[in-house]
Formats: sequence, C-alpha cells, structure tokens
Amino acid sequence: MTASRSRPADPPPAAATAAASEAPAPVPEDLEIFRISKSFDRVRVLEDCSLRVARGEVVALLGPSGCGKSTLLNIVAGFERPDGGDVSIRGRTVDGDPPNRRATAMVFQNYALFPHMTVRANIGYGLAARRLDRRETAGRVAEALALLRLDGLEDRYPNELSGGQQQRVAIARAIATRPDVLLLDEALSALDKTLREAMQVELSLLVRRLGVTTIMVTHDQREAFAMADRIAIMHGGRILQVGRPDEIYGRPKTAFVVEFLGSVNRLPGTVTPRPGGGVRLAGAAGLDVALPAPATDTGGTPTDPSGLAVYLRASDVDLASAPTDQHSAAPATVTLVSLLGATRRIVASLGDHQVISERPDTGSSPAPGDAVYLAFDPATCHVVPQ
Amino acid sequence: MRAAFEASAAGGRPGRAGRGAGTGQVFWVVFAAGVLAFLFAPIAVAAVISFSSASSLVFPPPGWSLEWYAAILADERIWLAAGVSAAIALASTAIAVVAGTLAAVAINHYRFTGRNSLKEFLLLPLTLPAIILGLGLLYAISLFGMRPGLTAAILGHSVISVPYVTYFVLAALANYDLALERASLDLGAGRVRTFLRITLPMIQQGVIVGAVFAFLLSFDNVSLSLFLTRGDTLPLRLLQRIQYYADPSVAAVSTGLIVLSILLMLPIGGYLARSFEPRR
Amino acid sequence: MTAASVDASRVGDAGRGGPRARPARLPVAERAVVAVMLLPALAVLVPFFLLPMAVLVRNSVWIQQAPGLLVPALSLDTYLMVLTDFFYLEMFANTFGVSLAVTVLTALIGYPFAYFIVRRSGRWRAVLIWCLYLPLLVSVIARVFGWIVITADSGLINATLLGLGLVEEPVRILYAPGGMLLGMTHRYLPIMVLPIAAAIVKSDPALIRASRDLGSGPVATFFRVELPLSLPGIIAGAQLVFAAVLSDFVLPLLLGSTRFRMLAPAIYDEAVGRMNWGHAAAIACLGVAIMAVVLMTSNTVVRRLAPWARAL
Repeated sequence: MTASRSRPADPPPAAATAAASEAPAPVPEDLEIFRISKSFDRVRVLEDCSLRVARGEVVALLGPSGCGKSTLLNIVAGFERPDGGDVSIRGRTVDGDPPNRRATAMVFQNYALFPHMTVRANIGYGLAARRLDRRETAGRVAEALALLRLDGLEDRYPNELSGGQQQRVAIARAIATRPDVLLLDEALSALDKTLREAMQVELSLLVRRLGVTTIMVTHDQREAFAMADRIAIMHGGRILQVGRPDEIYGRPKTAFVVEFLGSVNRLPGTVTPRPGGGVRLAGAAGLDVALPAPATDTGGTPTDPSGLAVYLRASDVDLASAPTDQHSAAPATVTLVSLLGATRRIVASLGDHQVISERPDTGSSPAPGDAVYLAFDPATCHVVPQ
Repeated sequence: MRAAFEASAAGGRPGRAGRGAGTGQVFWVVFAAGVLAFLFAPIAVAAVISFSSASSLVFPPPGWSLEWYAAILADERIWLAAGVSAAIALASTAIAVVAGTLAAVAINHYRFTGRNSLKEFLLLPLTLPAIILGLGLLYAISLFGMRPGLTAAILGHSVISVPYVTYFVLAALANYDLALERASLDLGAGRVRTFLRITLPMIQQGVIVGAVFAFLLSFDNVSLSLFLTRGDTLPLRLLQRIQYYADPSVAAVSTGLIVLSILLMLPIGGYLARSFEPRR
Repeated sequence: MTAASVDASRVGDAGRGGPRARPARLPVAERAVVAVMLLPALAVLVPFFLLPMAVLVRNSVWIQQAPGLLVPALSLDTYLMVLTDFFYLEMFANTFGVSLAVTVLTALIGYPFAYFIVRRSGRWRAVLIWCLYLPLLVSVIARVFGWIVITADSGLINATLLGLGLVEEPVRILYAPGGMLLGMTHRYLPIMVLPIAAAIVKSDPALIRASRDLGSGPVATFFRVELPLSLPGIIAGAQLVFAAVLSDFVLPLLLGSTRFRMLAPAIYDEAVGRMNWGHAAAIACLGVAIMAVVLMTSNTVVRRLAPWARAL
C-alpha cells in the first residue's frame, strides 16, 4: 500500500484520491471528458462523468456490463452524442465532429475487420481515407505490420487468419492512423485466456513504446490492472473512483469498488464512532474492532457511522487454530477447504455469517469441523459508505 | 444505441441527426413511398375496378356497383375452376409438407455422402424455369400412362412445392439446437416421439410458411398447369377471359384472390421479417 | 460414432472452410432413418423432375419428322434448325435483352429500397418486408389485370395524359414491349430487394463504425464498405430476376406484343400449338443453357470481385 509519489507519506486517504484525479497532470492532456451525461429512451446510462487523460497515459474504464463504460467510449469516438458535457481532444472540443473527423482510432470488440479487404487494405483503410500518398501509406502499413509481427500475412483476407492474428490486424489498423487517442473496446475479450494474457503484455508495451494515449474499456479486473496506468471504476453510469491501480486496490472509496475487486468479507456488526477519532465495529460472536476513520469525499469523518460498512479481503484474514488476537473471542467453524493453486481457500462460519480466507498454501490447514479464530490487522480493513 | 447510430449512418452527420433529418430523410421517405405505391398500384386498381358499374375497363370507374360480384357468384365455370385449383393446391401442399419437412430435417441432422448435392438437387426446381419443367412433364407423364388432369397436376405442382417447404424448413433449422433432441432421447423418448414433440414444434413456423408459399403459388400457377391440366384451373380460366373479353368480372375474382393472399400472409408476416433483423 | 454422425453445425455451414474430416459412414440404423426421411421427396422429384428433364434433353436430340411425330435417332438437326432460323434467334435475343433490362431496372430501384428497409426500426422494417412478400404471393392474374387497367389506351395513364392535354391520342403502352417491361419490373422487384436486404442486414454494423472511426465519411463508407459487402446479395437477386424473366409466360402473353416474341410463349406455342415437340425441347434446353451460362458467369464475377464472400 504505497502512498502517492507526489504527496506526503500518509495523507488523509480521501483527500489523496479525490485530488489525484483533479490535480493538473504533469504532461499535457490529450483527452478531457467533462461532465458527460447520456440517456437512452429516458434511461440514464451516464451521469456526470468527468475524466482527464494525460498524453501517453493508459486509462482503463472498468466496470460490470451495463455500467456505461462502452457508451462513454462511443461518445469519445463520436458514435454517440452526449446529452450534456464536452469531450476535448488535445485541447480542442470535438463535440460537433463526426467520427471520421476525430483523431481517435478504435479497436473493436470483435475486431470489425472488413471481410472484403486484405490485411494490407484493412490497415491502409484509414490512411486512404486521409488521402495519404501511396508511398507514405505503404510505409506506414509496413511499419504497422512489423510492429504487430504480421509480416507475410498482408495479402490474406480476415477469414483466413486466426483469432490472435485478426486481433493484431485490428490493432495495426488503428495505430496506422497515428491517432491522438487509441480506444480499446473490450479489445481482448474474444481471445482465449492464454492468448489474452500474452496480448495484454504485448499491447501494454506497444502503446507505451508509441506513447499513444489510450482508453481501454474492460470488465476484466485483471486486464485493467495489468495494462492501465490509471483505472476508472464505473457503476450505474457514474465514475466512482479514479486512481492508480495501487490506489484503487489499497483505498477503495465505496462498497461497490471493494466488492467489485473481489474475494472480500463484509464484517457483520454495527459501526459506532470511537472517541478520539475512527470508528468501532461491534459484531456477532464477540467481534469488536477499533478501526481508522473511513474515507469520504469531503475528507472528514461521516456524521452518521451507521451508514458505513466494514470489509476485509479474503487475502487479509487468517483463520488460526488458536486465539491469537482480541478481535473475536468466539471460534468459527471450518465448513470448506479448497486448494486454488497457489492459495488455499478456507470457508468458516461465524455465527450466522460466513468468513472466507484465501492465503498462500502453507501445506498444513484446518479440516472441516475444526474450530478456528479470526486473525487480521485492523489497518487492512476498508471502512466505506454502503 | 443502434437507433442513434442508424440516424447518422442513413445520412446526416452524427449528432446532427435531428436537424439533418431535413432533405435527406424527406428524399428517402418520398422514394420509398413511391416504390410502395408502384408495388401496390396494380393490386389496388384491380380491387377498385371490381366495383365498377361500367362493362369496360375505364379507370377511374364512372360509377359503382356490385354487378360483377353477382355475375361471378352465378358463374359456375369460375366456381368449378376454383374448386379444381383448390384441390390441386391442397393436395400438392400436403405432399410437400410431408416430403419437404422430412427431407430438410434429414439433411440438417445427418451427415451422409452426397448430402450437399442432395440439398442442391432438392432446391433446384426453384431455379429452373417453370415453363421448361412443364414441357418436360408433358412429355414424361405419358411415359407413366398419365394424361393431363388432377393427378398429373398435383404431382407436377409438388415438384415446386416440395423445394419451397424444404427451403423454409432448412432456414428454420439454421438456428436449431440439436442438443434439444439429444436431451429428449436421453430422457427416454423414442425417435418418433422426439420428432413429433421436439423437432416439429421447434420448426413449425418454417413448415407453415413453406406451406403457405406452396399453396398460394400452386393456386396461382400457370406455367405447369398449361401442360398438366385441361385448362380448367382458375388462373387458366381467368387468362382466357382476359385474352378474349376483358371485363371487370376478372377484377372481382382477382379481388377475392387478393383477399385470400392477404389472409394467408397476415399470420406469417412476423416470421418472414425475422430473418431481416440486424444481428446484435 | 453415433455422436459424430449427428452434426451440431448449422445447415449453411456445410462445405465451408476449416479442416473437415470426411463424414463418417453412418451406422446402418441411421442410414435407414435417413433413407426413410428422404424417400417421399425423392419419390416426387425423381420421376417428376429428374426424368422429365432427361426426356426433354432426349426429345431435343431426336428428329422431328412431322408435327406430332418424333423419331428416335440421335441428331443435332433440331438445334441447327433453331439456331440458324432468324425467327428463333430474334426470340432469344428479345428474351435475353428483356431479362437484362428487367434485372438492371429492378436492381436500380431495388438497392436503395432495400437499404431504406434495412435502416428502419423493427416494426417498420417488418411491415415493409411484408409489403414486399405480399405482391409476390398475390395472384399474378390479379396483378396483370391491374396493369391492363392502368396502361390500356383508355386506362389510367392515358386518361391522365389526355386529361392534362399532354398528348393528343393515347400512348401505346399495353400490348407493347414497354408495358411488359413495366409489368415485369413490378413482378420481380421483390425478388431483387429481398436478397439485397438480407445481405445488407448480414453485414456487421461495427464495420460501418470502424470505417467512420478510421476517417471515412458516410459516402466513402457506403462505396468502400457497405456496397461491396452487399455485392453477393445484388448478384443473388440478379440471378433470380434473370431466371424468372426468362421463363415468364403470363406477362409476355397478356401485357406484351405478339410481334415481340419471348421464350416461354414460344415454347408453349411450339409444343402445344404446332406439336413441334423436338423444337420445343431444343428451345427449352437452349433456354436452360443461357441461364446456366449467366449463372456461372455471375458466380465467377462474384468469386473474382469478392473472394471473401464465400466465408460470410
């Protein structure tokens, strides 16, 4: 849990995350999305979304399906018109521009390669549209082919290529136009897992080498964390939190963000203010923990702590065979033990509740029926508004 | 999402769809209305003139009457012809439904040698000029000792009806999940039971559409009936009338045929439109 | 091997790319099932389609000695007679020209109309599709009758023209090639529009977005992406229309001119009117040959211009 590089070691978390997304970026901005909202048939799909992306930065829009992330990407590309708000690319507003006048290039979910054109014609398509001369076009196509290791495939048709090759052509076609902003719309989701992970690495390296500003849309948490400089978590048409992967993971601001990032326990009990700052969680089975103050947008302690929830990641909780800690006096009972590769998952019931622990496999583990005691560091708990 | 994009794809710049709807949209609507008017003009005109009071084909009619309908109602030859046509159409459609459905299911479900050639063969009569097929049939039926008449016409019309049913059932089977049949067999149902309880209900709309096409096209057939009947089907009788004395009585029968087509087409309209839905 | 014999892939996928093993031989029981299922269709099509076609070819190479008398002897005399007689050649030329003209006319009207239909929202598209199918299934006699009323000397068009004082005396449309062309364009417009609309619908809307995104405007996108992708639909429609015009009997008879001879009435006339069975058969075979050449040529064009189309 490293702190922001440009800030004091341990700032109030709320201030850090809130400010990080709004502070002037150190390099010129390539893309500014300002207070975008959008409805389809009176259904709100985007509400007041703002985001600034610095030149050369890779930003992931991460969220479950239906959260509005693809719509936001389509607004940037010019396929949808926002009901309100502005999009600026390189400091110039592009609101009235049709997609073909925007310096964006999209890699589509199912590639959208033109089936009636060869690989070469596909990659050259955007250059022909820009009326580049033949030599310049040939040069850029060759360059894109080389960058994506597609040499030798230039005269094939898309249906003669494997899925991975089609993916490369789609990327080559987009970057050949030298876009100001590269848009990746679930670009890797059609690949199988192994290929997808290899492509994540390759594409990350490529966009950084080219220094192209990139917005990627994905519902895959691993993909966002693997590729992006910053991540914007979206839910219900809003951007809930923007930050570097470590900020998002280390200091999630809302219950949704914590739960979306997965494998988490919500600790049962009531939250009350603690004299001298922070809060206290008193829960089932003798659970009683003193916790740090929760993060809020205003930076202060919320006046009503009963609207708070306490989360603990499965990786941050241990189920020990002896009471090592004061958090919980009563033992929990192990119900299920399973090995997930490098980690072992232990599920235990604590009163009416279930606690999940996922820790590196040490070889010895309790068996179902054993009594275990919760052990965790209160500093790893996330206290967030529900 | 699609609707917004369609507006831009159809003409105007995206985002200007609202305002740009102007000239572009108007042109398109006028053009489409013109084509529709062209498609329906002769049908509408035939229906209108059937109520004419004149005995010549003056349009617009000088006055209105139902005399041509009265004349048709009293015309035994027309009713007889309609009966012959209906009998041929019903019988050939029945043959086509059984033969076409079974063949389509066999082609879709099983991989056997010559499967693709067989499919081409079954659909071939649709591309072959019907008049040529009729001529061939005229020669061939005599080999079986048949003369032009009901039987010859029924079998001859089946040659076109079977491919229609096969075609529409194959189309209905295109999105058919064979796992349903495996599930049925797995749950202990036999082949016949599976066919009747699972396969048939899943493809019934294709069968119905194929049957409607087969029936109406047989009822309206001229090219085969010319050679296979004794000139006593409804279309042939009407043809003779138009050639020799065109009066609005033909329009009265035509209006009846138009109503028949519309009635049979209404329930299958949604199904026909379905294959023109954009993929998503 | 039972599982392998029941193939889950779709009908249309047959014969497409990808490594395909030879179909495994079906077990005897399954072969019996297939045979039983195919039997009714074959029982109709073999004696009443395959055999008549064979007889037709046979009759075309026998010798027509007198009307109603065909002598079994292998000879190409009938073909020679037909192909050297201006009377028949003109008829073939007429038919070919009209087929071509109607194909072009229906394509020119049909393409924009198909495009319009596909771009409508669900309900409107369904209504328009229905409006295309309906005339196709309304009695051709009824449609012809309507055209007679519209195009006759005392009909709608001439009444309008005379009423407006644009012409002094009725314009001859009915019983002339023009009236027949009008009727055929009407009759075959739907079978041109439907395959085109199907082809347009089938192409991925993301391709249009991709083209716009890469910098092409709406017009360039239409000509570089949408039109080429619908080419197979245009060719399919053209083939259907061409073949249909070639074999049309009713419209030449009722709307056309007896002096402008067309294939289908000629075949009927030779066979039934003059009892020249050999001539009728030879003309029919030549008609099929013309159609086959046109189909194969257009297929070659598609393969050349659109080598990608097969996999769509």
